[in-house]
Amino acid sequence: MEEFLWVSFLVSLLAAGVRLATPLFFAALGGITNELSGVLNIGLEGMMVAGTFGAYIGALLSGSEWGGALGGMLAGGLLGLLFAFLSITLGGDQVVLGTGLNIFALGLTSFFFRSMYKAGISQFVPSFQAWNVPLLSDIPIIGQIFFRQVPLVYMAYMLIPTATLILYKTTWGLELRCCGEHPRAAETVGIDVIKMRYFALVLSGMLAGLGGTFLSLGQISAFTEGLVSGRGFIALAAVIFGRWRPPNVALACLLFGVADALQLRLQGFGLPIRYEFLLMFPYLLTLITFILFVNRGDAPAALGKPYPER
Amino acid sequence: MRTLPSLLANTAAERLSHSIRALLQPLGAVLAALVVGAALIALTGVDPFFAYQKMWEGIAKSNYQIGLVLVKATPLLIIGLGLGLAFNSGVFNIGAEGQLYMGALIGTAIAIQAWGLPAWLHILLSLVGGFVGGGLWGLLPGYLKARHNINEVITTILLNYIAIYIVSYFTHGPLRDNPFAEAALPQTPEVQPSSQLPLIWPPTRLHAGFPLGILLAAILYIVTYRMAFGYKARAVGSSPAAAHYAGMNPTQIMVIVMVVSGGLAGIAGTVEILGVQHRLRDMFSPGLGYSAIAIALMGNNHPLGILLASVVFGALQVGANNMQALAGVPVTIVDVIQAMVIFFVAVGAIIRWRAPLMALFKPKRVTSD
Repeated sequence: MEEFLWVSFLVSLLAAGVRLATPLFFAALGGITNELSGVLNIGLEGMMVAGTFGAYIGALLSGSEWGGALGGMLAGGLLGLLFAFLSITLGGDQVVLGTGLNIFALGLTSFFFRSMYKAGISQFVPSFQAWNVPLLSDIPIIGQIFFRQVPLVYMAYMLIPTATLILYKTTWGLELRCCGEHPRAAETVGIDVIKMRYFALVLSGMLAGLGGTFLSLGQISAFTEGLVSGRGFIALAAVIFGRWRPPNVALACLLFGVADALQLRLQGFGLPIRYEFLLMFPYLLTLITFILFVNRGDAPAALGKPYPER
Repeated sequence: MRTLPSLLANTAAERLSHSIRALLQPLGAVLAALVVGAALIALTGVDPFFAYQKMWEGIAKSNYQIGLVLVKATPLLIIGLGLGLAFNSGVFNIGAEGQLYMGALIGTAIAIQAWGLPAWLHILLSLVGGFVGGGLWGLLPGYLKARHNINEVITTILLNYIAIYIVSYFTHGPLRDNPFAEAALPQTPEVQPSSQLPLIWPPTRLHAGFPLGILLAAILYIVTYRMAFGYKARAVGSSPAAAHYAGMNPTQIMVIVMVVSGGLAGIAGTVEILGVQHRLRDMFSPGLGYSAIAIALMGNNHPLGILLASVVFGALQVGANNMQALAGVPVTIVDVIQAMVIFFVAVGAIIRWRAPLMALFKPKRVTSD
């Protein structure tokens, strides 16, 4: 009997971990893309924030959660474009701009949201519902953990091999990574570094926006301020922890997702640990893994350096 | 921007031109940002001229409002000074929010003790406590950055979340006022009268924290531009390798800079409690540590520019409250304006736009631009 309880606890913990890891993974995949192209994107957090709001507006206007996903990706992509313009075309410092982007996204979404709703409470909009994958969801344990999720989670599964193939096995992926390793060499073999970095940042914004979408339309069906609260930075740490490889980064996200799920569950357990320390746990875990794994080398060589050199 | 050669300016003429730039930059950046802000306000269907009129009235209505502007400017000024020092030294400390919380925690813990101390000593001890709390919170990321080249942006931001939860724990737990009352708010008891900062311009709310900030700005100016340590710190910011080659110890300098930077944020947090709020509350800061990033950048990391930038943003905040009440424009427009100021400064648009003007003040020199 006790064993059965443990199994069901673990299954629900891991299922929640997968769910909480998904928005992190979308954003992290965006982070991988722009970092491989040589741009350091501290603004991932802001792009997720824009995504949560864009998704809400999209769902409100279209009456569909998929319209919401489109809105979230559009909002994130626009921020990516802005970041690209400021950092690549105008040559601003990437770290400073990324920090500005985070403040910008928080301020702008809050400004528009509060202009729309004076009371600060949003309407309910269509949201993603869990969909059991036929056959697979009937597998004991595995099915319960992985295949009774919302469609965006399945999209994340499919993106793991797809992104790995595109980034590491195609010519385009090679060219992208060239831009991050040695932009001048890339230019001499005919790669348009500036165009590649623009593209990577817009794509990164769209993916982070999809991550934001998951937060407003995959877990709740509304918008509130503070939905992202640091997840963009956790995703950034996951990129480094997973050495820029989508499968490893997905595992890193899963680790942080499970940590989050664990602290949520332990809060209900009446343990002699104060809940503030439980809330702190995912950030602390991220910090520790970041410190331990950040300097293992193999970061793109030109990461964070503007091109053309100024 | 952090490698501007002018940061190492040391002739009198260059210092003067740097000071003038520090004064002009905040105004140019904020004006440009206000123009974009007007477009956003128009987008929500409010007449931007009407809105900005309400903002201005909120600032200049009375002495009371002007006092409030300086009260709002005080924490931004003190944090901004520390961030300016860090940015000058090539450390992008965005952990001021957490350092502010940890400083306020230690500072308040001292300020609530009924030790029967004279006011000057109690205030001094609390401020030192604030410096220690914030400084320790800056020490770890500073050490990791300097010794192991671990990106300070990620570590400081994660430490922000951790610090906020630590303060949350103390205000809900060990330091909670009247923990047995069911409806007790998550806050500490009121600080002792002996540790409250005196009001210096009654009947306004202006407290002694603002002149303290100006004093700190003067000290920071002397340290950064007139003393060997400041020269070394700026050299490390320009090029750690060159600084090392010149016989300096970049590791040690970076760590000291981060401790001072965090310590100043900690003082700011303590001043906010001793001068305004009088209790440490859960989640008491509306993102002061993030706003101060814009302040430091806007002030070109120069104490004089930071002083001006903090007053400008204090005014914007006070004005925005009035604008929200009377024109229905959300106060968070100030965050948008702050972000745009960061953009403008980061891309150096202001510097380029002002170049012909600056040429008038600069000693004759051939530049490559």
